[in-house]
Amino acid sequence: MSRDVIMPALGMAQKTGLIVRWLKQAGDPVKAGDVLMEVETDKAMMEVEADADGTLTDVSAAAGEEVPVGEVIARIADGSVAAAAPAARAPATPPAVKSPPAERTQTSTPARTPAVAAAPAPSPSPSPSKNGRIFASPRARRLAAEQGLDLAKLAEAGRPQPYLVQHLEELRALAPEPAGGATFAATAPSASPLRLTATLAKDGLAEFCAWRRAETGAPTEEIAVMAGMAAAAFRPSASNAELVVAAYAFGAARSFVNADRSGLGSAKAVDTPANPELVLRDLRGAAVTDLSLGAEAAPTLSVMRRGVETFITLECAPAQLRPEAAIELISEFAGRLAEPLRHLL
Amino acid sequence: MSSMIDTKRATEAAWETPNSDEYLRMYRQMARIRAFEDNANQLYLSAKMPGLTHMSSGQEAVAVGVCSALENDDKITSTHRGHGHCLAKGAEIKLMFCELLGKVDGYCRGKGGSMHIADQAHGNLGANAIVGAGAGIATGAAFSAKRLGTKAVAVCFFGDGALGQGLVYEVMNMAALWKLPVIYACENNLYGEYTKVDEMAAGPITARAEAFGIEAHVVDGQDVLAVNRITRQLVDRARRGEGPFFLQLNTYRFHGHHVGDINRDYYRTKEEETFWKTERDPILLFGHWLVAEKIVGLEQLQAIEAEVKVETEEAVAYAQAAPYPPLEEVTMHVFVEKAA
Amino acid sequence: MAMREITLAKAVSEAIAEEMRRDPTVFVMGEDVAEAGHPFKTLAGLVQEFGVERIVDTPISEPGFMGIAVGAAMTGSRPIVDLMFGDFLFLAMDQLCNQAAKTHYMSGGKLKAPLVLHTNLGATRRSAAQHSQSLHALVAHIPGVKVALPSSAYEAKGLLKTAIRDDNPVVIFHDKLMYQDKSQIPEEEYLIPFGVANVVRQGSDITIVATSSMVQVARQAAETLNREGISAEVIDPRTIVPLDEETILASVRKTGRAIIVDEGHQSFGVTAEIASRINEKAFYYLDAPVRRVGAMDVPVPFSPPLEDLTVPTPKVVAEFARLMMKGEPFHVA
Repeated sequence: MSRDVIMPALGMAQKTGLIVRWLKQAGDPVKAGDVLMEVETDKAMMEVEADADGTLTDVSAAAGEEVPVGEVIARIADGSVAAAAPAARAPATPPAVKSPPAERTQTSTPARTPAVAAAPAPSPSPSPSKNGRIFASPRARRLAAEQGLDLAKLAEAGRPQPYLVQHLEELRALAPEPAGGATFAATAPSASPLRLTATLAKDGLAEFCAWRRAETGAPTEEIAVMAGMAAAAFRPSASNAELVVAAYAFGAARSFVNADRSGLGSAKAVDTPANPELVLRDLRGAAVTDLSLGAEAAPTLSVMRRGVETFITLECAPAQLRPEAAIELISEFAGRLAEPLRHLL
Repeated sequence: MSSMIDTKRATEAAWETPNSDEYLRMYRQMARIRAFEDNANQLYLSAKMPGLTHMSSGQEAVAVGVCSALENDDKITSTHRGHGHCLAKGAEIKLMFCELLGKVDGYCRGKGGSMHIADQAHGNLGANAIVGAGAGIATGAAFSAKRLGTKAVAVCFFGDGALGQGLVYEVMNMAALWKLPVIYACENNLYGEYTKVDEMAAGPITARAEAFGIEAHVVDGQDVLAVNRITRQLVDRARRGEGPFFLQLNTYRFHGHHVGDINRDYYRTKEEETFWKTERDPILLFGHWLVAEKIVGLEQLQAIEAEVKVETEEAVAYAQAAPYPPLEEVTMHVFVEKAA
Repeated sequence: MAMREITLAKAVSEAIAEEMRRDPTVFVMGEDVAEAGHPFKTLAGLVQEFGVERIVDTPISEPGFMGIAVGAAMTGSRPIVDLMFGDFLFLAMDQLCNQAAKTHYMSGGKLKAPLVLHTNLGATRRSAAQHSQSLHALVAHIPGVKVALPSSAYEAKGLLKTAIRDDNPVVIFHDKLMYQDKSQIPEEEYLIPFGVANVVRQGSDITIVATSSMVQVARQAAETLNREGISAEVIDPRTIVPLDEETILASVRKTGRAIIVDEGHQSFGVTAEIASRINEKAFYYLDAPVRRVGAMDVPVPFSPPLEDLTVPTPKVVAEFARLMMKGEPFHVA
């Protein structure tokens, strides 16, 4: 039986030890406690003792070698043993390439992602538009993007930065008015607008309103009901808790707040504000059978008559609605318009 | 004072019933602790054990002598040099190696390590890495025992180094005021880290306890029977409400302060170490006594040593092969989640 | 529901008495807790009902009796440790943070330390630097400790009962100037769960998150702002560990502006933590940077006019709110 002589770990962070000199040679008898070799670590010089009686054999590291801790570098055999050729040991690799012993737990620190957004510290600059950099609050930036507004226009107009939500009104007012007396601004978006259409064999609106008038005795206007349906369909994409739908019928504008929260058809009309979240145009009384007006300040649903069919378009800027949200909006709206009662239940 | 000594001698005589089964059990326990520490030391030196650990080789008689006088529900608190206490109080070797290696089967699911091993099922409230902190916890355990009427006794193991911590005196004061069932067991191994005890603790050690009116005793910590005898007396009296007590056990640690403390001759001479290892080894002393008293033959002792060697090596192999805790456990056990 | 009015001090002693009647393992320890009933009289009447074995007077040994409480908690008791002034927390820190807080984790879930550290915070009592600190951020930083900050007598009773029943170390701080403040409480037993914030006042223009006595400061600021047409929402987190983030974030998503008010020092404290979480999780809803109003980064001075300068006031909070509403940039763009 022989015992291993290992390069000991002598400090917490120590990975290798340098053999300074051997005090015993292969074949020497040793007793427990005899100093076998001197080892240098980054902290100090240490003597390594034999931990048993026997004969030193199989010395496989020489003075001057750097050995990883834990590695066997000699043996102590009990009883006499012929001096055997030392087992070939892999030559020491330079310390820099040492990997820690397998059993040491690797602490894995979560990857520290560097700051993703390139955000240099803002340097005070007299006219920010020269740098091209626009300072705006995160909320203002998000709402501007959703509404297809370009904050740079505010900079061009000379409004000092940073821009906040309250400045978006001003921004909207900067955009040219579209023809037709619409009461809200239209901006030309830089990317192609989204246009989706839906066709219904028939819509259940008139029938529903008649039923409701009979059931509740309350006046029921088709535009109010339609606004409720539009609001309900748009709700998942709404960013404001107070969802305003601006509705146009027969050339007159009426707006409804949270039309999907009151009973269908009972939403009260309010004055049309400067920035409705959704626009609804009921053009069934008009001769229009198709339109492609491009994106406006808010996503716009238009409802037209084509013979007995009802034709719906949804137009918006890509920044206002993701494609999936646009599809959901028009599908939900169309579904409710087709079968109002079914959606009530 | 003299009447107290006479009473002590009388009670000592009454405890003199020999019990060879118990002696062999104690011998085996001490041998186990020695084997455990030797293997733990090897694991560290061969870079197979993470972190640091602190060997208690040489102090086996203190751990075994004291813990053999305790019931399972009696509590102990331990120090950073706590493997001996833990094993003597009933811990399993392989589960302790698992804890030292950070494996999930360890006593603390790998989350405590050498310095925080606790074995709740055997009344071990834990090793502690803060010197002296166990004194608060042990005194609190005694407080609970008295308040709740459980009749349990608490033993606080601490070293001569902890005599510098103010907390130790604060809780001795309260233990004396409230007559708590706690025994302060001071393992005086003559060195606090790398400094001699008489350069760190002024005045006699026992006088510190006596200043609070706490009865103090001194015993040879290398004599397992003497340790066991005095502990049994004090535990019994503590259970009857006569506590607290202070017990100074004079002993020696064979290794350095921690496993990396290899070149020690700047604070301890080789002659001193050799003397304690050859003349004052508690296992050798007990073995010689058992053979001389014809309680057991030398071959039996050697057989015990051989069994313990195998047991320990198997435990090491088990622990090395055991798995680490699943990574999700890193965020578990920060809080006790109340069952709904 | 029948209601009655009590002071915060009475709420504390009622909560403790009810829990001690319910669970015989609960006991109180601390300085002057028995006959004296505590210098702030929060424990008056308890020793008469429960005796000196359960209302335990200790020597002036904060590390010592905190350590004993930890050991007792680990072995079947449920101690309530009273620390006369929150400033003495530093003396008890090793026992609370190295021992109690880590016991459950270090033992792999096998041991636990169910204890309550009952203490106070708050300046403007002319008690100078070592008796006026608000140190809750220090203990909130340590994993394994829960921290409750009642803002009224009603909160105090409900939170303290929950703390006593919790199996973890809980530190509960009352503002020492509030002991005689009254609230209405229900006749029936009630508990307030941890991690559930209270929206004290609803609003739509700005969110003010405030802890402990700063809830009153925030309310007064909100009333002033209301007269100026600014609608402030005031939120009381009640506990900072665990923290009800969702209520705070939902409010900030609505208003876009937030001020955090806390009596710990301005730097490295509770306000910074909450502001940070808002930044991480509601950034795109912010129309202004989150502002923090804490106590000045100075030791609390004795001289009254100086001391009063160092704590958050309704005036300061309202002024921040006005600037944020105007869109005043807080740093050069």
